[in-house]
Amino acid sequence: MEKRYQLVTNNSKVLSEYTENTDISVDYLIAGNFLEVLIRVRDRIQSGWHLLSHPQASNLKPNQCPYKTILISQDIAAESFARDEELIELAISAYHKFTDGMVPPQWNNKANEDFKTVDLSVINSAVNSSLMHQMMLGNCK
Amino acid sequence: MPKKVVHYINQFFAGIGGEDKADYKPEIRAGIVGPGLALKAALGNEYEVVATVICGDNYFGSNIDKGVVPELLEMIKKYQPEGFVAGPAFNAGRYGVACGTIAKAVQDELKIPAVTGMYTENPGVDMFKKDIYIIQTKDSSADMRHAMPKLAALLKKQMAGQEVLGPKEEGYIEKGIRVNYFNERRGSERAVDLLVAKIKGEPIYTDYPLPVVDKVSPAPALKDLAHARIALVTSGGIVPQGNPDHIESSSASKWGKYSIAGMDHADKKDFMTVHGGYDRAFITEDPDLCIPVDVLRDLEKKGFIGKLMDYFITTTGTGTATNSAKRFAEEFVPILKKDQVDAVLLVST
Amino acid sequence: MKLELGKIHIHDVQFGEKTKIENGVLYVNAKELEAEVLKDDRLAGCHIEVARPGESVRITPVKDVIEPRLKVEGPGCVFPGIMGKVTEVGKGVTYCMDGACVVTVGKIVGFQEGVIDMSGVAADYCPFSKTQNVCVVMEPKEGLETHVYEAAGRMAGLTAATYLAKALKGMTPDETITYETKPLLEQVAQYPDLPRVGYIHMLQSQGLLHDTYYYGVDAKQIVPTIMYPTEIFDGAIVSGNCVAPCDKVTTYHHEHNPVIEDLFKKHGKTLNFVGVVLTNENVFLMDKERHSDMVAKLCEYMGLEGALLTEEGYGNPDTDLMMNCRKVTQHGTKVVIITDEFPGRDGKSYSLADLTPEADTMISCGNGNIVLHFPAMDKIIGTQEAIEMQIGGWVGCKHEDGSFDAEIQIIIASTIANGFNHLCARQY
Repeated sequence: MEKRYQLVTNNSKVLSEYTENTDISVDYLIAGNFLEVLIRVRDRIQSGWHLLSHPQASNLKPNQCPYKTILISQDIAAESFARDEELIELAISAYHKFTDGMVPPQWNNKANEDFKTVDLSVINSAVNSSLMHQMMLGNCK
Repeated sequence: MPKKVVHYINQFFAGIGGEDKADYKPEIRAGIVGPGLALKAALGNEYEVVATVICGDNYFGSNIDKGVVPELLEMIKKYQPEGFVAGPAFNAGRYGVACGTIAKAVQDELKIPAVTGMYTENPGVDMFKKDIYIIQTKDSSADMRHAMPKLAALLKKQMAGQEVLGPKEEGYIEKGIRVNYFNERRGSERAVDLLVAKIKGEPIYTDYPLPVVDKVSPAPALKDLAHARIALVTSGGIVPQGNPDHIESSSASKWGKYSIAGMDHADKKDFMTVHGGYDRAFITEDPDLCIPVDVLRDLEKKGFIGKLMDYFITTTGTGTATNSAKRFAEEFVPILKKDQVDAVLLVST
Repeated sequence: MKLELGKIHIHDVQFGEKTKIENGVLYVNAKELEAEVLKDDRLAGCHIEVARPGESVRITPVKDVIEPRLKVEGPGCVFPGIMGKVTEVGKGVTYCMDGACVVTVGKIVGFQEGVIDMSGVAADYCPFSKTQNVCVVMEPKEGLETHVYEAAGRMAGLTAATYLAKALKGMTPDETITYETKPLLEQVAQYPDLPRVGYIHMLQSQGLLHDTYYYGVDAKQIVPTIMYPTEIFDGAIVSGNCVAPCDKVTTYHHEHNPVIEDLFKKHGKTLNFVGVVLTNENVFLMDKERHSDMVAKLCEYMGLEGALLTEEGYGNPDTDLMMNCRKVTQHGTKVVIITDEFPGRDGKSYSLADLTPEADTMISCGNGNIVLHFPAMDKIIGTQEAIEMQIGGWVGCKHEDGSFDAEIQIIIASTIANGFNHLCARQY
């Protein structure tokens, strides 16, 4: 049976942490960048998936943090389709607002690892949310 | 040495002709032409309008993607201007779009200050206000003697490297750019007073006006398609051959209602497209690509839809002011309602 | 709840044999303070430096800023649940060192945050260029896990502030302000003719380096609740947020919440300040819906005619901001939002990450994307080497002479979205 929840991400730490999770699958964009994660989520929304976490989570702006993870669900919706579309499009336009015409930053390994840690922590805060925890336990309808 | 300025105007202000000469090809003349006189007077002795570049509004509009801008830039460059003025265009839509386009190109490519002037409803305003200074003018050229001095003043400020102040002080249309300053009072203090005023119904303000999002709620879905009366409406610029009502190729000021009675498809012998915003080759060959009469007649025969109305409504969408579009709808919707049309197939490009 | 806040004015800071306050000067025994901080064995080392207004000094990377305060009378301690028991605070008498701060400095992660310039053009944008700063520069043990180091860094600052606060004992305040909020019905009855106003305080709660604590509880784990305004003056809310320096609400800013301070200034005069609604900014969308519903419910329940609304951060929190504004307004309470803006480097894009038509009355705290030239400084407390990697900086922004260009985003609390500063933005 296909899992009801999915993490769309380009963060290898998220993959490692969730690869064996029984309820959550991981769509890992191995060489994908921040924008590609957003576009993939938009594609999913247009195919009927629903946003469960905010696409612009974390104060690290798109021109600072290379990693992004978003939680989506096949059948459980928090918002309407129109609102999901709006949220992901706002995220994509924010990405362009902060990066167009700018020189991309260069991070060393330690910085990249720390960005991954922060991104993982932020998405964990969604997955570990009390309600999400109950939803997974109850496998609710 | 007086500082050099180049002026851009259209065929009308150059005294060449009106709508009939809107295809006038780009030309540059030394010195001033037409309203250049007002510009010269407003600029004063330390500046000289060394050249005036002229282009027909239709020529500009139809050749935006075919190199009219580089062509004009080459002409302008030769005079080595230090400042540039376009128009003012007042409420003329195609002229406004041309002024905005060329002023922005001059600013970006030649890296000199540029200024233009338009009426707030000119479609060029929404397209260019963020990128260039557009002095706010009235809607007719009778405002020239008030408008031109403001254009000149703003250009001189920019050329002198002086700080450009806010829209109210300088007379330009709000660009929508956020600029920092230090207020006398801290934000929380102002917020407290603002809240009390809001509660009491007293006059209030906002530091950040929300962008206007004109959301139109969709009409409820059709329940009975098989009995529905459907009308075709398009902004793709389809008109009868010869364009009898002279609908413009951009910045349309009118719409048309034309018959498709007895036609099982839209044929190129009957229809053409005047829309200046897309490559017309495909639709010229087959107008059904824009008004799908063929498909709709077929669906009508099969009983999928109730009836296709015997006419379609048309205008040109590109460069058309949203206020104009609103007005057209207010004019033709009563016709559709009187004919008991249940739904409209809206075809854009 | 009634609290007397006694302010002891500090106009200078010096190193000294004994940590004490004399004639408005804070003397710090650096060795003692270092030893106190290093009781936490997660830290390999720390040293203390001082920075005074007007000096050619730059402090970076900054983690948090805290004002030393001491509970003199009444239950509980300052920073309840963290520096002592969870006993409720906000009553009695508390003294504060007005004009002196603890600044924690150090690398928690590979990317760094936060600049304070004590002089020059960037100083105008930062509240801490005007305070006497005791800088605790920390070095973590090798290989310390990031979450652990963040906690250690946070504790270091609070420990230092608590240690210094002991110097307030026995002092006589230069100035005392009395704050009082009565229980709801009594408060409403006290000024029946004045509009009933509240403050909706959104707490950052997104994960590592993005957290806030109320009585030591991680704000991610709360549902909206009511707080007496005076609790905040005793450090009931502590910051665990170390990213996006410009709109970071430091612990100092929690202690000095400007909305609460300014509401009290008009309390009994033009308004009746009834209470504070606390809520969070969780990234799980259903939490946002649930909590904004609850915030609206609490406002309605308290009979608020108006509420001020502030957030911390950009992006995800803007959605909570808009949801709260919309629902509270629809429930009949008028809302004024205070927020900062990020319209992009050219100032042309939409400033916020979300919108709702009810957000028609906003106070702006400025555009964080404006670029400033930061002059070279004689002394750096911490290290400037990672400037190009800090938010607001970019590769090549640093110059040979030690100066650099960066967006004002890089300055601690420059655009803090609670209206603390005078910085504002207008439409050109």
